[in-house]
Amino acid sequence: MKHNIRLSLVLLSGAAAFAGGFAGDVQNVSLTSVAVAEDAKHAEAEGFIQNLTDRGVAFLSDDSLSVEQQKKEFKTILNRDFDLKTIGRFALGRYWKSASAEQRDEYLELFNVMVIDVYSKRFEDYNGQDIKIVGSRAEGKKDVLVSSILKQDGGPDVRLDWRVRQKGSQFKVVDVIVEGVSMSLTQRSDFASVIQRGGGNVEALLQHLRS
Amino acid sequence: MKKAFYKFTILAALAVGTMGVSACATNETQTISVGDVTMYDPYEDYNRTMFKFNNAVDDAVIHPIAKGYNTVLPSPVRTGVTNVLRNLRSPVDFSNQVLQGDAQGAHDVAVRAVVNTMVGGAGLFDVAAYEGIPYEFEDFGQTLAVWGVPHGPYLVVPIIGPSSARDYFGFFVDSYLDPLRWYLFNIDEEGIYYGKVGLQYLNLRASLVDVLEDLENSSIDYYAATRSAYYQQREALVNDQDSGEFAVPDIPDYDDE
Repeated sequence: MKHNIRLSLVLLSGAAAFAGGFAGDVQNVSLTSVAVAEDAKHAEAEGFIQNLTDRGVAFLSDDSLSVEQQKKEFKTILNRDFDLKTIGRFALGRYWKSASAEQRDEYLELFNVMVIDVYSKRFEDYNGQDIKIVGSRAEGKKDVLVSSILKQDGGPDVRLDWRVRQKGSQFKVVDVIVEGVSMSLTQRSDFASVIQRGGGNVEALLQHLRS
Repeated sequence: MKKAFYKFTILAALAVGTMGVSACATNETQTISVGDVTMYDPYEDYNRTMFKFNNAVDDAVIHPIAKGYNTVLPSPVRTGVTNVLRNLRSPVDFSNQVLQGDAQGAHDVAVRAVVNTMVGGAGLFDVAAYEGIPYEFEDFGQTLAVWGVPHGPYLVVPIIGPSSARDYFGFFVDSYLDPLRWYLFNIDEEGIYYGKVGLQYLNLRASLVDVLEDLENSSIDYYAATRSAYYQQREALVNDQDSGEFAVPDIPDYDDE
């Protein structure tokens, strides 16, 4: 019997959305009131995540697609709706500064590949979980944290928070927080430990990512 | 009661003692922090060994049982088991809400217990959640956190898994806060109590099968990823109390540089 809490599916279903024409629709709200502008931004961000999860669910439940097709689509979507550069850089933490330009480029490339590989393995595990948006709040100066609940059969509800950042006219996801656990921060802790135990050099992490 | 309090005092002294030691033993490479809260891992070598041991036991015994549990029991049954166990835990949740000075939280626990016991078939169905009062997990580790007690050193406890000096200590206090334990021990039915604890453990582990598999697959250093996730989850539980809000890591806007 297939089940349940899918940490990765969450990211996956989100990432699997085609942002087709949607993300560019940021309204230009006249600034009669900051509150109104903020409300509009929150609504936009919620809409962005709603769209993302809807399309993610649609993509994952489409049995007519081959694994390769799914993977390709996932890749396109991930690059479009997730700010992988920010996530990757955040995940490297303070070691970003000590990395050379070549190491940074290689790292970001490998990070992308890793994310796709890890989550692609989970495509077939999807079995109809549903995500419901429940609200949003401002996070920091620029970001909106969109809260949602993942409903699943036979397991407790899972709280998912999407940290959304406006980049120009587009929204991008910079973090997914599952029951209070930030995927970006967990990745960062993981990488930091690998580097520390490898003598404090980014090369130690790159070696792991290459293999 | 007196004996329990005595034990409590000893444990408290022990916990505080360990925290003092850890504060001296730490260095920068062993800390994890979000916002203004930090956790230390001064016993990392020991913890890593224990983590390996736990994983070996888990792979050989616990994980297969948990998977079997998920396979054999249909999902409504598993939900029912979770609900009953949560309902039985009400006195512990209630005590901790009171100790945290959370009157609304304590009220919610009481209402949930009455509604789910009376209307929800002795706790089998979480009727209260449908009525808008969701379950909130409270333990003494969280209570201590609310009181301002820091985590102390991170600990990987045999079989139980990730914990901290504070939370592990809280784990024992919670069992003393449980009237069901007092009752069952008084009528010499310790076996039933331990059976319940075992079922709780299995139920929890079974609900985490996928989460832990994912964490292991997506991390290079599973130990470090688990430590981070444990720490973050505990912070969320502590801060989640009423507002439903919790601290999230600060992700800078790198384009600014």
